[in-house]
Amino acid sequence: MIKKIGIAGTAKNTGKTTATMSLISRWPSPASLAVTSIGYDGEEIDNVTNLPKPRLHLTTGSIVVTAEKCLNAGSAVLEKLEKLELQVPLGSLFICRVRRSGLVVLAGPNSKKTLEQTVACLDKYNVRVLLVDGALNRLAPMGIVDGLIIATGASRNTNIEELAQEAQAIEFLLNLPQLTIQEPALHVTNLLIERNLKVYSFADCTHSFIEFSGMVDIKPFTRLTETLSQCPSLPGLVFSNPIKLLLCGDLLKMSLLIRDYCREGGNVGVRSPLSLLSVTINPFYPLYNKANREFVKSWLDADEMWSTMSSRLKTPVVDVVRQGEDALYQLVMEAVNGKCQN
Amino acid sequence: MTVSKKVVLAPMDPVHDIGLKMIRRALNEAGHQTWLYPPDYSAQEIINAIIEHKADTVLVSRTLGYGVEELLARFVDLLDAAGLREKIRVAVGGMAIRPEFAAELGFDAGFGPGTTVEEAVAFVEGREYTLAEYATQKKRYDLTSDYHYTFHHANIKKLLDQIAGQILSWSQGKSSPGIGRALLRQAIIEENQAGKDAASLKKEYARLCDEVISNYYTKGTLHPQTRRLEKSELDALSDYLKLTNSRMRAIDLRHTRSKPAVFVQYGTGCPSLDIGHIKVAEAWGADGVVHFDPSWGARTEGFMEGYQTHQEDGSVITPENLQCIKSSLLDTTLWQVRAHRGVNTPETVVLAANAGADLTKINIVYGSLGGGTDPERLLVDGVQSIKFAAGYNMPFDVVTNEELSGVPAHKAFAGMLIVANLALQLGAQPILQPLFCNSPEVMINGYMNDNYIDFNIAKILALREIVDAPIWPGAPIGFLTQTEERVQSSVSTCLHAALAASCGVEAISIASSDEAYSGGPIAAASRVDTLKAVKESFRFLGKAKIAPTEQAAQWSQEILSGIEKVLAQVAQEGDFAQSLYKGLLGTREDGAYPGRAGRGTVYKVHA
Repeated sequence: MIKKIGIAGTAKNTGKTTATMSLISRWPSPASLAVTSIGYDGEEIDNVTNLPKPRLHLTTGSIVVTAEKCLNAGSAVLEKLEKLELQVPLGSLFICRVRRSGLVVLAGPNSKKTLEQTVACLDKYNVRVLLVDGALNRLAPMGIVDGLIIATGASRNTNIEELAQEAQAIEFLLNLPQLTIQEPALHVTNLLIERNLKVYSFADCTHSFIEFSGMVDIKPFTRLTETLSQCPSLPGLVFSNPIKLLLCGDLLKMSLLIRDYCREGGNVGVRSPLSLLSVTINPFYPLYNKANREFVKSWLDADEMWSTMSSRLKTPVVDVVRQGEDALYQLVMEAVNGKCQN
Repeated sequence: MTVSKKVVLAPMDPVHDIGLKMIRRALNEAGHQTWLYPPDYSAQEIINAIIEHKADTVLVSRTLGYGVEELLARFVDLLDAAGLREKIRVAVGGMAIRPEFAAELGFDAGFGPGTTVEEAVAFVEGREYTLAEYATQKKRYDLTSDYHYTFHHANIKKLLDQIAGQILSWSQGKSSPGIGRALLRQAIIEENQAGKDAASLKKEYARLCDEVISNYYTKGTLHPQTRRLEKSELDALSDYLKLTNSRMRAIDLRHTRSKPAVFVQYGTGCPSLDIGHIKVAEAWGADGVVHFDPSWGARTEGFMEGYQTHQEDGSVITPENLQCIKSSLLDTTLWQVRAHRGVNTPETVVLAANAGADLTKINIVYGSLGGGTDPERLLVDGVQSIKFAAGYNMPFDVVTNEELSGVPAHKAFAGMLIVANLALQLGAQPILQPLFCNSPEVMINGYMNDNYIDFNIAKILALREIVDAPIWPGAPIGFLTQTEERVQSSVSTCLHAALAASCGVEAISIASSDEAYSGGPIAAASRVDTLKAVKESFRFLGKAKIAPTEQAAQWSQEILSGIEKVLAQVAQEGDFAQSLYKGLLGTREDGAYPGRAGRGTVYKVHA
C-alpha cells in the first residue's frame, strides 16, 4: 500500500518545495517514489514578490502526476503511463515516468477527493511512497495523507515567539487522539457561521458524542463550547480529521478551547488521525522595500528560530537547508517503515 | 437545452466586482439562478450561502496582492473541508489570474485579463468555450469588388485616356529581356505542371539574365549574398508551422467596422524568419502580408530558383521561396508580392500569380523616378505586367513612394492615376495607394505643422473627387512621423490607422514600432506593438469619424488642380517616356531621378 507523505505550509515561501526536494534528492530508489503537487510547482519567479523560487528536479525512473500542459514545461523527459479522468485548470492529469532526469513542473490533483482517486490509480505502478507537495497555505487535500510535514517560517510570521505558539497549536490539534464512537452521536455537518448553531439543539444535547463531518469555524465553535458547558454532562467531540481543525481560522484559540473543554471533562478526538512527522522551519522571508517598491530577500536568525521551536515542540524540528537532506529523510523513512498511524 | 444552474458570485474584494456584475447579468439572461454577494462577505459566509442555495457553481473575483493568494487558497480549502469541493465547480477571476495560478490555489478555472462574459457563462454551463472572436470566421478581404471605377472628373478622365492611348501606342511592338523571361517562366511553369523537363527553356532563360543569375543556371553558383536553405532547416520550418498553425487563432482587429484590412510587410532575407514574422502578424490580427525582395533584385536581370536565404534585408524571389511563404499563410491572409519597380516586374507578376498571391504592386512612374529603373524599360515592362495581372485577375496597388523622395503629392498622384487608368483600359483592377506621410513636400510647406489629419484627408478627398476606386494608404501609414521610440511609433501608427478607418479606406499598411529605426532585423515584439495599438485605436474609434479643419478641403482642391495641370502637360508632351525623362511627373529638383537600370534594353519585335 502506498504511503502518502504530505508537505504542507502555513504560508507561501515557508519551504515546502525545498523540503520536498530534499526528500527527492536523498531517495535511494527513484522507481519507488511518486511525486505530485496539490498546487502548481514550476514557477521560476514568484508572481507576487518577483523573487526566485526553488524548482523540483526528478531523476530517471521516478513517477510524477501532473497536468497535460505541464508535461513538456520542464527539462525532464516524461513518459505518459496513464491519463486520469481528472481535470485541473492546466488540463487532464497524467501519471508519468521520468525518462530523462531534469526539472519538472507539477500541477496535480487539487482536492482531497481527487488526491484519493490519484492514489488509487498509482497502486499498479509499484510505488512505495507518494510525496504530495503542498500549495501556499492549503491543507484540505492533506486530510488523506499518512504522514504530514508542516513547513513554517518567517514568511508566515517574523515574530519567532508567535510562530512557535502557532506551531504548538498545530501540533496539539494534529495529535488529538483517535476516538471510536460506539453509541449514537449527534451528527453535525458544517458550523461556518453562528447562525448554523440554530439548526441543532445543542443546549438540550443528550448524546454522549457530537460528530462533525464538515467544517467548524472558530466563531460558532466558541459559542458551541459555551453552550455545551451548560449541559449536565459534556458530550465528546469527534472531528472527521484534524486538518479540518487547522482550517478553523484561529489555531491558538481553537487549541485553547479544546484544552479547556478537555480540562472540564470533555473528550475530544478525531475519527481519522494523521501523523505529524516533522515541522520544518525557514528563516527566509520576502521583505517589502517601500522605497524601491520591491521585495528583497531577508532572513531571521536561524539558530534562534530552531532553538525556540525545538524547545516548544515535541515533534522534530528540521531546518532543511542547514541540517541537510538526511534529517528529514530519516524521519520520513521511520514513518514509511511503520510508524504512520493510518 | 442547458439545465438551469445555481450560481453564487462573490467579489472577495472591496471594489472590483464589475466583472461579476456583468457575468451575473449574462447568466440571468441565459436562465440561470444567481446570487451576487457584497464584497465584504467572509469566506465562511460565502460557503454558507452556497450550502443554503444548494449552488452548483461559485465564481469569486479578487485582485492580487501579497497575502491574497493565501486568502483564496483558504477559501478553496474551506470548500473542501466543508465537503462541497466535489459537488460544485469553482472559478476565480481577476486581473492577475492565470491558469497556473488557479491550479496553485485549487480552483477549477482561472479567468484573467481578456476573459469574456461568454467564457464565464460557458464555464458555468460546463461546455467547452470557443472565444467568439475566434469562432467567427475571419473575413477574407476582397479589396476591389465594391468599386466601379467610375470617373467623376470629366477633364481628368479625358486627359488620362489620352495618355493611356499614347502609352499603348508607344509600347506596341516593343519588348525587353524582362518580358522575355516572364514568357519563358510561364512556359517553364506549364512544362513543370505537365511533368516535363524544362531544361531547354531554362537554358534560354539564362541567356536573358545578368551574369550572376545566369551562373546559377549554367554553373550552379548562387548570388554571393545568398545560400540554399538546408533540409534540416526546411524540416524545422515545417515542424514549426505545424505546431504554430495548430495553436493559431487569428483575431479581427476592426471592432465594429468592416474595413480597413491591415497589412504588414516582411522581408528579413530568410523565408523561415519571414514565416515567423508572418505567423506573429496573423496571430495578432494582420489581414495581409507584403513580400519585400532585396534592393539588388530590382536591378539584376533574372531570378534564381530553389529555397534560398539572403544575408541582408529583402527576401529573394524564387518559385520555391514564394511557395514556401504561401504554404505558411492562413486561408484568410491576403498576400501581396511586389513587382513594381525593377527589371523583373513582369516575371514577378507571373511568379506571384502562380504561387497563389492575391495582390501585386505595379507602378511605372515610381519605379522610373524613385525606384531606379529606366523609364522606357519600365514602361514597356509595366504595360506587359499589367496585362499579366489582368490575365491572372490579380489586383495590384499603384504606389506613390516618390513622395518620399520629395515629389509633391499632386505629381505623384498624377503618375498613380495614369497607371491606374492604363490598368482599367487593360482590364486590370488597380488600387490607389496614396501615402499617409510627413513627406519632404509636407515639411517644406508646413502642411502638418498643426496636425497630421488635414493633409492626409485632403489626399483622400482629392482622389475620391476623381474616381471611385479602392484606396489603400501606406506604405506604411505614418511614414516619417515615427521615431526610434516604440511607444511613440505605436501611437503614431495607430492614430494614422484610426484616421484611415475614419476615411473609410479599403486597406492600410502598417509598420512595426521599430521599423523606421531598426538597426537590424525587425523584432517580432515590435510587430505586436503596432498591431495591438491599431486594434485599440479601432476599438476607440468605432464607427465615429475624425473631423478635419477647413484646411483639408482647400488643400484637396489644390491637389486636384495640381493633378489636372500635370496631366495636361503630360498629354501635351505626347510621349509618356519623354514626360518621365523630362521631369513632368517629378523633377531632379523635386528629388526624382529617371532610373538607369535596364537602360537601352528595350527592343522592337516583329508583329
